[in-house]
Amino acid sequence: MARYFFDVTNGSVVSDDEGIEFDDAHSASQEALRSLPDMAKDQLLMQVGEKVSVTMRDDHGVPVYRATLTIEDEWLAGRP
Amino acid sequence: MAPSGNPLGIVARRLARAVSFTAVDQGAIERLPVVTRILEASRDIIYEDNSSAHCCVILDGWTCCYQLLANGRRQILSFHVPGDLPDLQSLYLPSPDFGMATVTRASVAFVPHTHLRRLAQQSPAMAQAFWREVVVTAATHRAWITSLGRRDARQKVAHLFCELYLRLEAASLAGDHIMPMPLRQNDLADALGLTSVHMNRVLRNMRTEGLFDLRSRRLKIRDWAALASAAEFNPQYLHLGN
Repeated sequence: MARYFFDVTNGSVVSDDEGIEFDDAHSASQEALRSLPDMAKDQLLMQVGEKVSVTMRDDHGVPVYRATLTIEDEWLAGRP
Repeated sequence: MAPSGNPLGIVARRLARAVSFTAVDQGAIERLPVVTRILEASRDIIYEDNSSAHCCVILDGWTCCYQLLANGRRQILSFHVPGDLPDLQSLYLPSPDFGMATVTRASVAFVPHTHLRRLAQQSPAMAQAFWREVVVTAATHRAWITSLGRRDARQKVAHLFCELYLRLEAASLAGDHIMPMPLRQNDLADALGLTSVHMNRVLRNMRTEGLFDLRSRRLKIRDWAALASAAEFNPQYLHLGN
């Protein structure tokens, strides 16, 4: 088990000072990736056109992984 | 924190919340022949004879009911605190359709179905109390379905904390908006259908907002009105008072 920290960037950065324990870096990265659509579901957190990313740091504070999600929309024949 | 006296007193008081028990009813519960086991945290609660001829009663500690998917992901269906009878339904439906596990180290009493059935046959108040217990469990599941399906993460957390506080307070295990909080982020994430990373972020935001303090396995609700309002919490489904 190792502790990883997950900083969420969505306009501003929310740093994680607590962390979560995972078996290894791979399972931690999978959870970070899955958290993006999870967070995007919360409308207050994410608007169309915004980008949300999770940066994962190891227990030495070194960033080791980042996942990013963007939601975009466009009108294809002029805005009604 | 549990009052001294008969270990099953907590169950008798719990069942008597909304049903008038006679002294005979009260005594009959306290004299039930139980086998009590102390289980470490995060262990499955399994009946030793592998039959479901017993119900369990939580005497101390916290437990949960859950279902597992083939990929190992877990959905926690409910949390249970001292005085709860998490599988009372097995009196009527002997094949379990969910698993039970301890959250913390817990003291769990196993009560034979035969004795519970006899109590229900002898006392209409007892039969009513059992029936009521099972339908309140169903009402609680309905509230959880709505949270899981329609509330956002912040509202889900707020709703769960409001529910747990009121249940613990009714069992005299919490007061002054302070309660034990042994649930880890993974437990909360599995109960609320969130990833642990999102859970972590939401808890941090809610602490920063001043809704509660969460440290050393203790939750202090700093602003009950704001927490209940965030959750759109209506405690009626718990039927604690009547």
